[in-house]
Amino acid sequence: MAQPAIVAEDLTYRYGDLTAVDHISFQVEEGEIIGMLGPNGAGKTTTVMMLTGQIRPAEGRARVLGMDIVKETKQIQRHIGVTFETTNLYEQLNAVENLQLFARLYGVRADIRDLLEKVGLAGREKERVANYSKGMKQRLMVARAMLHNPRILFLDEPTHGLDPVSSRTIHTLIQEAAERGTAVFLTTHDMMEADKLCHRVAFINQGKIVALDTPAALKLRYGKRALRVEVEAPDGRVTTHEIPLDGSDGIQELAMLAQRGRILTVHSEEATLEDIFIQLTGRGLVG
Amino acid sequence: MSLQRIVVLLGKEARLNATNVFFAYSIAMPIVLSLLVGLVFGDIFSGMPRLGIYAEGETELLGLLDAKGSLQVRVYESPDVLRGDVRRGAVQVGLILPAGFDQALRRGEVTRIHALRWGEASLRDLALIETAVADVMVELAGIPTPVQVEAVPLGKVQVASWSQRFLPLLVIMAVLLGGLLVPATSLITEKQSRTLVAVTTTPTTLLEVYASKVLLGLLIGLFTGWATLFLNNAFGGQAALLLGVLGLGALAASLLGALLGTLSKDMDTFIAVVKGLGLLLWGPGILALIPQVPEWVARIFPTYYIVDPVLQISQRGAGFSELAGELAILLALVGTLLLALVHIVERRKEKMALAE
Amino acid sequence: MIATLIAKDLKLYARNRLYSFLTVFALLAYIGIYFLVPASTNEELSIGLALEVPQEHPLVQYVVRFMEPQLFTSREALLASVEEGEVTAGLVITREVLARLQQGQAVNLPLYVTPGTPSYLQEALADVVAVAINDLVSPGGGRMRLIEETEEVLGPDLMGASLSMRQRLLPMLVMFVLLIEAFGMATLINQEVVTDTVRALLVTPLRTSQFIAGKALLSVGLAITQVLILLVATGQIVTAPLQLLVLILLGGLFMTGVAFLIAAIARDYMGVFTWGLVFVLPMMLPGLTVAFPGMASAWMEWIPSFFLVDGLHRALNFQVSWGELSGNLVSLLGISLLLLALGGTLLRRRFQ
Repeated sequence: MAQPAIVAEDLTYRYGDLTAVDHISFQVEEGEIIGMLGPNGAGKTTTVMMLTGQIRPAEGRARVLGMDIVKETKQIQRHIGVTFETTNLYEQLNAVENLQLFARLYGVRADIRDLLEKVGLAGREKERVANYSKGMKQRLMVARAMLHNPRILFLDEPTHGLDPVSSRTIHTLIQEAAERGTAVFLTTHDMMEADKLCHRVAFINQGKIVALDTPAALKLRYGKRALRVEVEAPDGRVTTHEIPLDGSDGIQELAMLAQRGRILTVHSEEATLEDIFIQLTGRGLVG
Repeated sequence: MSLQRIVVLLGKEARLNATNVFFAYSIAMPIVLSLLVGLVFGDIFSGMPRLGIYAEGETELLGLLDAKGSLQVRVYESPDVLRGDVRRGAVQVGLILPAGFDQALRRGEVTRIHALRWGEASLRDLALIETAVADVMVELAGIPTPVQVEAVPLGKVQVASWSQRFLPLLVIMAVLLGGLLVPATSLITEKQSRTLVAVTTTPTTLLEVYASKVLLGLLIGLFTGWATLFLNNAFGGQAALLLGVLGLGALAASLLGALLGTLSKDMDTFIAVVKGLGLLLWGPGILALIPQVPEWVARIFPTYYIVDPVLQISQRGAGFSELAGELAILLALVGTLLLALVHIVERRKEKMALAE
Repeated sequence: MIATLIAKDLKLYARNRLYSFLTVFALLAYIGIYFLVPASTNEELSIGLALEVPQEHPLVQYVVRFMEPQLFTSREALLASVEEGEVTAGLVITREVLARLQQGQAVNLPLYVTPGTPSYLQEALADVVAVAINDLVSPGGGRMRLIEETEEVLGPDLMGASLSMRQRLLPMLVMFVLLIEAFGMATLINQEVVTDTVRALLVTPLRTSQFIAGKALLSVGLAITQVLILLVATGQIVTAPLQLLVLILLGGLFMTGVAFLIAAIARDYMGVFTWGLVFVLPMMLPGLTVAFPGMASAWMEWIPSFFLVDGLHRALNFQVSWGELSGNLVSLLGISLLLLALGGTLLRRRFQ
């Protein structure tokens, strides 16, 4: 069996007295997209920084592709691609020059034109990055991270504040990468994105992982399922009823409602990841 | 237009631009250049010979030498410090005077003194030091000096020194850099960060925003122009007239800055435009460095009508009536720039309205 | 990898129009200033003498022998020559003046000086003439007979061939080029931090030490190139090519250390500007003291840049031997390595 792409054990980081990441443990497999979901300041970026060798953990340890993140940082960095939460491109250079620079640093011969085509920047590649929109810059950052076909992609808020077209392009790129066997470590506070893209999501709050599983399993475990039924009584009055599907006989309740009047609509209701996050942490994902 | 809003905006501009590197540059540059020109070409370091003295006892020689205007005299507390300063050229000659020097001189006795000479000192400076010292020694010894010599400078017109020749360029740089850079760069920054739209969605009008930026440019240009004249001892006597003309010049520069800031897409374009305009802007200053070029050539350049009235007033004491022609041209220049700016602001307003 | 980084930085340098413009402008300005200042020193104070009395008169002969003046046949010719600046000052000896001098009576002599002569020089010239003539006519003998002077020369004796302003200015200009380059380099590094591009670079296989080495090499290379252009343009590289090359190389290292320190301390662009002034302005002082020795003071020899400026001054202007220069070179190397180590360590800490 192939070794996991990432194994973190009791990973901890402190900024002075503040514990930003508090003894978290998890594992990511090759080809898996894992989403770290949490509000600002929850410890998502700090975790990425530790795993990519930008900062050293205060406690705990982690292995990326079987290598120690403290002792073998530079070997690890040959095989990972990173995007950052803020744009950090050379704005006075054009897209090709930006990608060529990093290709040389990785020591690879990349098909830059093809990559730019994939991220939708073909035709604008000779323009200075300073003139690009936010979405174009973000797509270029993703292209930069994928330049050397990394075995793991760390994407820190890759679609934050982007237009739907740019977001969709980036989502497609992530899914294609995962299909090729690349592990993707994604941080986001967009639960729709996590739900759609991630094989598993980890809820992180105040530096601690409070839940980690597939979106479906989380919903199953923590969410409540129900039917919302609109009924019109013989006197014309319309009433709405909620029938819980867990731990009750829903069909019988529905039959009883049908006897009381005419059923106008029936909707199934499912908890969102955000609902579950609020349920688990008592706070929302934004802020 | 609301004056109150303009003042509020001006305050914001001043606070924001305090951390703008162009703000620091426009204020520092003319001042640094003034000091540099002063340093290199004379006014601060006049080339006056330097004499150091260590006296083992009391001597009136120090007072007498100090009173002379032809030497810089430094008194030392220790012969070693004097020796060190002669070695590094801080003083060109060091004299070590024995105790009872004055009395021996007055008695007509032969007195022995030790002189330290900096090897790099020029013959000319050594001769000047020697004669100045000799002159006061003769006075101290009470030897009659029947011959008094008084220097009479010839020629009605003083030859312009290098610092004087540099002054027009410095004044242009001060007024233009001060007035032009800050409004232009702050407009470009606002355009790039799209804060202009945010401000104009309040009751503030675009014209008020521009007015505050132009006003800030005017104030900076006025200050840098004034500081340059002050540092070059060229402030003259007619403060009100001078301030008025400097103000007009700074206003022209500020309006030009606002125009360029509006028309430039980004900072790079702006810098390219300023470089392109360079000769047109600095022309009169550069021509003043070359006295062989006839004055009418400088009159072709618009900035001539800023710098010439300033220098006429500050250096030659010219009055309003003598400058009426040049000031009329300057006013016309300001008027044209103002009209052009208002026209462009109106067009931008329409564009912004359409975009909404 | 380092070569890739340097190529990238050179490209960015060229794309930053403000910096490339300022660099070229400053270099041209320095070369311009060098050629604007006088190439030779006016060692002489030439005095013209118009005689309206016979030259054979003993007193006149004394004056001529003592002051070695340029003689003029008429007052008009003398005044014209003074006004043109051909002689620094001019004196007319009339019959009346001669008669009064012979009788030991007080005489007021006008000394005509060239237009634009500074007032201190006017007074000094008047002193020269007054002392000379009073010495001759004084009944008790002049002060010459009262003083016995022993003279000691400190430093190389250039009597009659003192250095021109140009020669004095060049070491200072070299220093300026280096320090302005330190400013530019500090800004470039700071920009990488502010725009966060340094993080993007350091999550690749590139090591922090390689990043710092790339910056150091670029910085030293740019500094050396600019100083070489200045020295070649002024024609002074030929005076001591090897010594100058070594000094420039060390100067480049020194300046890079200063740039690293500024970049490590400054948080943003304004910080570079402020800290740049704090570091760079004092470093300029030793250069100023070579050009204007009147400013020199013992404490300035403690400013690290002194060893560089003094070395340049001696190599350029006195053709010193390697042995005489070794003190400067060793001190400069030591200080440069110290600054590089300190700046490099602080930068490394900043990046991590």
